[in-house]
Amino acid sequence: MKKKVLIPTTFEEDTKTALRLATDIYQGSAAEITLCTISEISDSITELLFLDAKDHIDVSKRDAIISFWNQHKKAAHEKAEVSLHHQFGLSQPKFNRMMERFEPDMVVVPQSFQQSPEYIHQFALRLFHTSRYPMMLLPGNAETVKGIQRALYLDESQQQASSVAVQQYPFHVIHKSMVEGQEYGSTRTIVEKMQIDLIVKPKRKKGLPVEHDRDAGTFGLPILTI
Amino acid sequence: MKIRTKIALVFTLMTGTILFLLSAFVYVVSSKHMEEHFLTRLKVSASIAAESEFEDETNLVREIRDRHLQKLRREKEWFFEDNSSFPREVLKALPRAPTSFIENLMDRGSAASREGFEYYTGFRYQSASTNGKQYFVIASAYDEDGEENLLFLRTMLIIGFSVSCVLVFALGRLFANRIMKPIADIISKVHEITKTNLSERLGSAKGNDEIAEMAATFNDMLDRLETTFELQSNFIGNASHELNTPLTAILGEVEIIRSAPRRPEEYVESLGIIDYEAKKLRDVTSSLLRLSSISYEGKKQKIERLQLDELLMDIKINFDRRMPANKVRMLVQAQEGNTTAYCIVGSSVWLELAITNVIQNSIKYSDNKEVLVTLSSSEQHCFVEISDQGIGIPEEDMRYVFEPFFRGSNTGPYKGYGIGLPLAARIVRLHAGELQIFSKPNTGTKVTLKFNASRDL
Repeated sequence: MKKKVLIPTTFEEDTKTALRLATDIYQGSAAEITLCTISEISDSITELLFLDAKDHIDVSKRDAIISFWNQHKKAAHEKAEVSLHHQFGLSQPKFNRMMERFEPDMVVVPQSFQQSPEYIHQFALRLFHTSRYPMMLLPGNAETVKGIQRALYLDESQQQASSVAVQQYPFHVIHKSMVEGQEYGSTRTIVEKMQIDLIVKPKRKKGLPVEHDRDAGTFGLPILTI
Repeated sequence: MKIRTKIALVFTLMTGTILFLLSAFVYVVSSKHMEEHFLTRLKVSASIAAESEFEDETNLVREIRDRHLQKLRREKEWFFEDNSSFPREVLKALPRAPTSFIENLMDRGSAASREGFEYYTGFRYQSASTNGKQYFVIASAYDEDGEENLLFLRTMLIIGFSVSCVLVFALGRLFANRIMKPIADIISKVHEITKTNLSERLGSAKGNDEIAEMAATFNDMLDRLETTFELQSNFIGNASHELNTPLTAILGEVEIIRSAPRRPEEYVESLGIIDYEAKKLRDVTSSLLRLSSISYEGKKQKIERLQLDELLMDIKINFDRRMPANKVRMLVQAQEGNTTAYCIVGSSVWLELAITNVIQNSIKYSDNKEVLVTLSSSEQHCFVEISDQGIGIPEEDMRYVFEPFFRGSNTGPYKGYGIGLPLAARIVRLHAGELQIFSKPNTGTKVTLKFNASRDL
């Protein structure tokens, strides 16, 4: 079954890492990856008549990413396909429709998008966080993550049901309660000793933005919220 | 009878029935309309005749009638006095008139009737000029035009109906042929596919209609058939190879030892080699026997309620005893206060065999690197996950890994028969579970065993 990945991007360098990690997670399943750019809708009526995504994105950066992907696909014999989507303006209903259209199995957010100063990008990040779709937030040093073998599931609420969702991933998910009380001690020690590549967390019902989640953010690892 | 003929016949029958009912309706309504029209004319004619008979002293009405009014075919009028001899006189004058007509006329004072296309109408007549006497005025005429028109209409309807039926059958046949053409194409294509060209596929599987769905289903079936054929041929090849290798070694050793007189220690050494190869052969055959017994005697094992965490600990203890250098790390998700979270129903002997086989593979193909085994649960399932950092399984080999004796293309340096994983998969399947493999060459493999959590036997 084809897996679908949505990557909200500003076409910065870390988009390449997002592409690489997405294909690594869904390798062999001919994933459909969509690079999604988001921009504010213009206030000017005349500009609205001639909406063109090219005016709202850095075309040279986009071409660089596409060129990287084509080379990577050829070299690594990737089966995944990449497509582009530009979203003009965003609201909760628009976001819902966009997600219904793509139905992504995972949303991978590069750090450049997370730290984008643009209001619409921050708003999109908040909507991604509160949506039901699994979201992976990449850290600044994501290029050092070569592949994901083991993930640590941090679930303070001890929700049993969450462990069903994590079985679908190709990496081994270790629930924090499996190693608590053993010789590992703190979460950081667990991360180091167990060679953890990814932190998995359940989505919070209140939908707090991830930058508030300092505990997981300090490990320098990608964070997957499900 | 072929489906296309059946479709054409059903189509014709349906349309024919509708056409027949429509024709009958048109005929009956037209006939009724003509009858009413003719009777009205006859009544008017009878009324004028009565007036000219009893009221027309100057013969003016008779003259106008004769000169200007059209006479009906075989039109005749009779005037009878209303007395007791009336029925006798009527029957004498109009012997073919229906008796019901005469009775109605006498009872109600007016009546109309027909006998074929011969129409009768009559009424009781009384006026000042008849001096209080009552008369019956009866008129009859033959509706020749009506007869001709109805005959023509009937002929036209019969011809129209017959031609329509033939036309509908022909069109139905054409339509059925067009509908059945893709099916006929599929049939001829399927006929062409034999075991020598199982990779052929039906081209009509694109689209959203039922034919495309059927073609896609055929293609799926062909996929499965092709895989089964391929697996079967692989199995025979691999099994023959595995059985043949030790046998060849034994026969070769016997041939060498018998070729010349040997010293006693050489015989002992040779017997040792034969013993080694024979044990290998026994291992292969006993693995095969175990595999087949699990396939066919699933109900003979003792089914009990068991704790997966305890079973995993037993397996770990066994590994530590047999392979003290193993790096198997077992982790169990904490279940606060829930003692039945890892309780499943099954055969502990088989499950131990299955999980041991998977762990053993992980140890073997990762050159004894760390193997992580975790146990977790949800409300309805228990998950045993086993991951290693070994050689992995190439993507092109993934579809064959559950086939007995199949060995991955990168397993050359490792000893094995290719039975462990198929055996584990069958055991898990017998426990209504699922075995899933995620693997990446030169990185590692993760095997997930999913069982239904059951607290009751």
